[in-house]
Amino acid sequence: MLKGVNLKVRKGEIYGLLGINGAGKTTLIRSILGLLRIDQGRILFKGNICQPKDIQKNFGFLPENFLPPKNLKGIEFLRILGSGFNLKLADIKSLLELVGLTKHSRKYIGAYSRGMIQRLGLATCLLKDPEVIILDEPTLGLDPLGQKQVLNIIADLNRRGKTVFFSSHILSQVEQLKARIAVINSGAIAFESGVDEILKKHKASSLEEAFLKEVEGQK
Amino acid sequence: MRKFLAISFLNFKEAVRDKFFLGVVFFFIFYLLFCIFLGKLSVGHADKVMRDAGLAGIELTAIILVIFSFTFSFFREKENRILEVYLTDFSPGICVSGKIFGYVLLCGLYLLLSAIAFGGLLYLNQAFNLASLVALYPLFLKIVIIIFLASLFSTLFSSATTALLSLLFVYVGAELIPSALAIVKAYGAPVQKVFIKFIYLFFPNMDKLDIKSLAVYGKLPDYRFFLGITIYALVYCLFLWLINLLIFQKKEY
Repeated sequence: MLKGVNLKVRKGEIYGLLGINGAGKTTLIRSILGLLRIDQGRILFKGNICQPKDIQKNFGFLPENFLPPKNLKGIEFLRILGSGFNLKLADIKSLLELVGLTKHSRKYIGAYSRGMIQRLGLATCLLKDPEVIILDEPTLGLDPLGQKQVLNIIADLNRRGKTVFFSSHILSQVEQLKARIAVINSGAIAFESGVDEILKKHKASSLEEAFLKEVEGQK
Repeated sequence: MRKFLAISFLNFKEAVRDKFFLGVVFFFIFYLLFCIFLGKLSVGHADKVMRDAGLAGIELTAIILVIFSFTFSFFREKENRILEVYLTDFSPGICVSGKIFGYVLLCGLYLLLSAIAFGGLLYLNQAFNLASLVALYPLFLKIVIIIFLASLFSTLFSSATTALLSLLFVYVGAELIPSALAIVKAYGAPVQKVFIKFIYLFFPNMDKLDIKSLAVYGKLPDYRFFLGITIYALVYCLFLWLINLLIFQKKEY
């Protein structure tokens, strides 16, 4: 259950939602996307109450453990879904290039590695060219190379003007992306600011140390 | 419309490539060979037996195909979190309707393939009549209703097993209820008659969508029958679709 969550994500920034397992990261993301109903409060997009149409038009989402149909090829999956957004083959090919899957586009998704599936998921997010990209644990279960590739794509998307909101409990990634952060603990936001601020607050030398002090301080 | 077609085609392609679909197709091929064998055993009635067994086989395999394939696909989408991606990109109405239409296309493809194989078998055994193939149209309507029911139960229940069992129960119930109605009409108390009649009206009237017994003898009802069952199936499916959509929108994913 979420309690008194108050967050503001600015246009064009990378925003990291940090929290231990079960802290409420996925619940918050699903609430933002309207997949879960909220009992109280409101979600605003560009100053107005966020409507389902806003989400369908402006938000791209990559859930945790996303797995598209294994018996389709990567390019087929994107082409069919992309046809819903009037995308042409050239658009799909450029998306595949962006996420580094051009070589593997004609392979069945069943033959993809976890990292390739995540990159395909990122391409799926981008089909409608959304303003905001929401990623739930985008590097979960990836090897270091896969993590690096996904983080590079996220940074690249941000350079292209996308607002990125992601959840993670891998703190080094947040530092690497120079994201503004919020720490969520037991369904409530414990801290919201930049990495430097949380380091100063806890007089810590690393984000991990500061994060642990923040989380343990709440208990 | 583009979004609806995208979801439909995605589901159709996924289902056609599914091992379950291929398994049912292969099973049907073996079943057709069995029909030839049955025909050889029924001296003097080989043509009728082949038509009857063939139509029954098409019905059975098509029903198994849509019930299992749809239900497993729906719950797989939930488990693999892809439904969340669709719901972020498309409205719930498009997600539900697109999936249903994808399976209607699958059912159409299966019936087309089986009609070609079945028609070929009858032709090679001098047992072909057009009525046997026309009988596939009411069967198509029956399976379309089952697809809508599969979607409703998949949306309603959070477990694939419960959805499957409920669907099988309703299907078997709908097939058996005309017999129950005939029994209570002859021997039942007034309360039983009203109760069974109510269930009969509420459940899909599968008996109305079955002309196998006529088609086997080369007979067909007139066009009003076909018009009537088409309207019935459309209205029934619309009713199921509205309830389905209402539940789908209320549920959290």
